[in-house]
Amino acid sequence: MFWNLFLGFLISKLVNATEVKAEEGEAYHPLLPVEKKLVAYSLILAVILLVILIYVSYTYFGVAH
Amino acid sequence: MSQQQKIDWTAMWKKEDWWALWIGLLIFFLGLGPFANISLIGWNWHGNVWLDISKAVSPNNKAYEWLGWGSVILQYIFLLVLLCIGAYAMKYNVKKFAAGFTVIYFLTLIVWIIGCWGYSAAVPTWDPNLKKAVPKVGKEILPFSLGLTPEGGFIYLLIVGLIIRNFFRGFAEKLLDAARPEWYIKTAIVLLGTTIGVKAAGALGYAMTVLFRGLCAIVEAYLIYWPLVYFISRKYFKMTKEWAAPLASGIAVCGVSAAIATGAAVKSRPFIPITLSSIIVVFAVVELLILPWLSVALYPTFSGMVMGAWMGLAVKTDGAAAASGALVDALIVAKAAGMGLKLDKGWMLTAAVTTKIFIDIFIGVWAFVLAVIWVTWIERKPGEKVRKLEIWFRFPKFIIGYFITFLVMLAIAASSPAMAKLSSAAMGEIDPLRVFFFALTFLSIGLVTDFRVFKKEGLGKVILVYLICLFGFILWIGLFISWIFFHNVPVPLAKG
Repeated sequence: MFWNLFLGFLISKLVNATEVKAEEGEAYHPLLPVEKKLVAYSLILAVILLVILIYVSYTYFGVAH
Repeated sequence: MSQQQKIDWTAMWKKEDWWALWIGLLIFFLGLGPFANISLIGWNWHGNVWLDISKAVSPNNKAYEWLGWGSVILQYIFLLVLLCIGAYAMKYNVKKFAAGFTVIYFLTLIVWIIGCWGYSAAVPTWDPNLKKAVPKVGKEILPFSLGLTPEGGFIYLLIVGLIIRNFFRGFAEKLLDAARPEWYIKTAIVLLGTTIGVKAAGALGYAMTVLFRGLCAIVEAYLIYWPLVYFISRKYFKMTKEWAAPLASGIAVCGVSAAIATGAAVKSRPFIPITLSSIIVVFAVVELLILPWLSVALYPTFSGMVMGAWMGLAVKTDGAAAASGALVDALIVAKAAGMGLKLDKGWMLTAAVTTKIFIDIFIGVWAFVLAVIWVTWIERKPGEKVRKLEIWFRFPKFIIGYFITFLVMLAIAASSPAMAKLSSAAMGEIDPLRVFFFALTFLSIGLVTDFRVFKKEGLGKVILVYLICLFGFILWIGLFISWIFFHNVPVPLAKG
């Protein structure tokens, strides 16, 4: 919550201070549910894969000289 | 993505990616001379740490010692001819390329030699008589040295390139036709496969560990960095999808090529990934200027391999990532030497390049996945399909060259001790050219990095996202993941 507020404040101050013409063209639409899912699923998959890969690394690819 | 496309075979002689492969493989095969008891490219020069400048350069193979400084001219002609053939095939302006390359070649040579000066390059080593670490050139003890190793020349080259680009713009413009950092670094990476192959044969289990763990670490780039950057730019910065997706790939994955591939996958307007690329390149240089030094400061709290992998994960663009890995390798080897540890050179660079290469390999797959998601769920275009061939179109081809040189040398060097010895000789033939391509990359990165991009109107939001993401979490998650996979992988000690 605090992070959101802080980030929102910071960004509004900084973005207003710069010209943002780069956005001309496609109109802005808020995040679609499918985009939120894409973000959430990616992060969940990352955590699962990390756990598996750490296990495989330490089990089958130990350090050998 | 959905248009019916055929494989464009002309790309094999029209793209830098392929030309890095061809030139890299040609040098590789020429370098195999020692297997037939001949030295075909042993006349290439290498820099020596010097106090007497006449000894700064010598041909790599003693059989060519009579050439002296002539080896510089020979190498210049050799590279000029090779690169001009590539430039002609890719329809560059060959005259301008040749002129620019001539200046870049000799500028690189001069700066590299300066970097090899004893007071800059000599690394303090333990002297049993004095009972302290002192810098030496031959038997001569120096009162001080920066201890940057000859690779410190990379830093000077980058700085010289940046100064020319940002303060002598007219001169820089004339060199731009030949300032091709991506071409040079990709060629260098193809050649690097040789070095890694020979080293891996001597430490097979270790090398496999580095390769596998490098592969593991990339999960972070695609599945942690990307969604976080995308989410932040969409939710907090109100960016449209066509900006947010390539920006996320540019910051999170692998700089320019990922931004362009993603831009195509989500059908961004063409100027968007190109605009983003200019910012990515500048930020990559900022990282290149900061992170290697931070790595050295963090060593030995974090091991050398953690630092190497961190460069591969955190620094965007192939050139800057490999360049950072090379710097970290040189600087940490020097720091360890001052602590009485003689580390084997090249392994930290291997960790950086391995991680980067695996990230590169998946760009095509990632662009394909995004295209499917965009067509199927986000843009919802019924009947539109994405061809799997896109994965091949997006695959960075120079990586094929890297794996060829790596696997061939690994197989040969591992076959018998006699073959291992010949492989080392072949590696010795090729390595000076690999180092020189790295050096060309550093100067070229400087030459193409225009800091005026920060003043460009309308890009404030993009730059802000980049800054917040990079320094807010990309660097630190990268360091953490590198630590997870590499903290118990020590850099091998040098033999002898």
